[in-house]
Amino acid sequence: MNAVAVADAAPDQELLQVSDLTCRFGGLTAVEGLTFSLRVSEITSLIGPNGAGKTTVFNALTGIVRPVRGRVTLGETQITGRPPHAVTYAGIARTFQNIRLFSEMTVLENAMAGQHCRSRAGFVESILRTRRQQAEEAAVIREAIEALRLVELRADLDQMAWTLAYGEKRRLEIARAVASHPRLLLLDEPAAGMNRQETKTLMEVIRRVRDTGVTILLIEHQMRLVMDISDTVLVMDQGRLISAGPPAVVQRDPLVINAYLGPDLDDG
Amino acid sequence: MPRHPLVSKYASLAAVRDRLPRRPAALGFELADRRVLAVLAVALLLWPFFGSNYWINVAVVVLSYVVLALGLNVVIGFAGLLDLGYAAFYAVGAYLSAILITTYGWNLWICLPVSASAAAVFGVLIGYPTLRLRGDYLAIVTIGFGEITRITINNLTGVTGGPNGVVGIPRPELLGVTFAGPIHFYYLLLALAVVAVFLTNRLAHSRVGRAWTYLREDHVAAEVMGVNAQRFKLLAFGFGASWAGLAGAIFSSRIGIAAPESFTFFESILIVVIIVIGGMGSIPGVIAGAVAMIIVPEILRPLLTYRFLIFGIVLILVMRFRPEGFIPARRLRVRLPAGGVGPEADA
Repeated sequence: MNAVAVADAAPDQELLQVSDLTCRFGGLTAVEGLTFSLRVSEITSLIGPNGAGKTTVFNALTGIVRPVRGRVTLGETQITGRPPHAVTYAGIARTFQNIRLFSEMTVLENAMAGQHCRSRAGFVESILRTRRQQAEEAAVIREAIEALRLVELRADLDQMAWTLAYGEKRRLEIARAVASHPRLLLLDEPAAGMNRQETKTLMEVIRRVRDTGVTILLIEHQMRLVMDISDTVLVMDQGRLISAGPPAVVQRDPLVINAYLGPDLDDG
Repeated sequence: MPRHPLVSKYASLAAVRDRLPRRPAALGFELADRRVLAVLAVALLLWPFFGSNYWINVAVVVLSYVVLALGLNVVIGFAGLLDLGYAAFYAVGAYLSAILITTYGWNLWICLPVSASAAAVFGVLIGYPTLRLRGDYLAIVTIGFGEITRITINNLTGVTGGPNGVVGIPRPELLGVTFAGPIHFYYLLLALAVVAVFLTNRLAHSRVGRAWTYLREDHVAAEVMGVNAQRFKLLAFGFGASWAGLAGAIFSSRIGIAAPESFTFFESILIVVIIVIGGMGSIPGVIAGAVAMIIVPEILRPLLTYRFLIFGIVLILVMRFRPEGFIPARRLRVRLPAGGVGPEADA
């Protein structure tokens, strides 16, 4: 299912390049001169204290927020300033910090949303219900089911999304994103509010998605998960990138400790 | 309607996938049981031969509102865009057709597609600047455009006849039959309503209909899943408006006049109410809503002006005890080919 993602993925190749990304809201600079890149099929975590600008980075990458400066390149495609739907077509999918499912639609329909950008039946074809349109609908359903399998969602396909348990909603959101066959998957606090068992399942799901060739960038506050799952950790504070590297290195970076715990008073 | 054999658990998802036909004739998107539909069709076709002219006339009005409400249901029910100026498109269809017939000698049958297209274009023109707004803001702006349209028509005396309207629209003719009585319009509107049900139902259960509903449910999430919001909203607006254009053209030919007082804000609200009490996004619901909204006041007619009081109370009770409408919208059900997949033990 991930032919799209794997096609141009030699190991160690960079998938996403962000340079000098800057976002302002009025006088407030939320993100300042952010530069980083993500390697294909790696899991990268973006961490930092509250208000560091992590979600703004996600919004800028997906076209919800327009950066005032900087470039974002996905593979060979320049996506800076493109509208959200165009970014999805280019191959970035995301989940939201505060779950945003289509509540009054079924589990299956939610997962099918991912395939919107990979199918093309328009007004006329939908009315005529052509052979091609019917084959496409069947394929969309198949892909949606495939994505639900990947996240191990054990719910009725025709159950309304709002009736799901919290952890199931999170996984349905991931399934919806995965169903779009993204090259890059952005997860905004996927483990927020989950208990230990749910977090464990989630980590398996994330690894499994990665193993299909998808590059993953996640915002997370649960350090156990971050240190366990990440190949690389990026640390932001007050809109800037203050540290980047493998988990073990970042963990010992004095700048990071300072950002999280405040300056060491003993050192004066 | 019996629940389709459904697949439930993750354990059996692989089985579901493998059992899906390559090109399913129907994946379970049926409107209703075919036998029920057949009986209903025969009844709708035959009863006018036994009904009184009065009730045929009532049915004609009901059917006009069925067509209008099915069109607006695409906008409000499917796409979640609260359009409170729908009567403007109704007016465009009615006036355009009236003018083309009286001044230029066209006949109604050519005017129908022309009015539908003109209303759709008008819908896109109004939608282009306004559909960037959401929720209540869109509602207010559409009220404004609805009123602007009516007031413009009222004052554009040279073209529209101003407050007097366009008068003397001749009765339409088809294959030598002059549309003299309500029964002719009954069959015309019945045919149109059937087409409207067919088309809106097909769209509802397609990629287009799902995109509309994604936008209704969560605008940001829909865009992030790749839905081009502006394009799909304009499509809903234009397609919805085209039904008002058709209904308008038939309306002015039926009563022989197009006058501004037929296209007031009250008219828009009536159609919205039909959708809300019937069931937003539900095609059978909207039909039930139109039947109820037109027939109940007719039944209450002996009560004179008190009927509006009672009618108001009825509406409040419906919303209090059945807020989702008479026949709530149903979502897609996955029906498997014969045999289905039995309930499997959870893995």
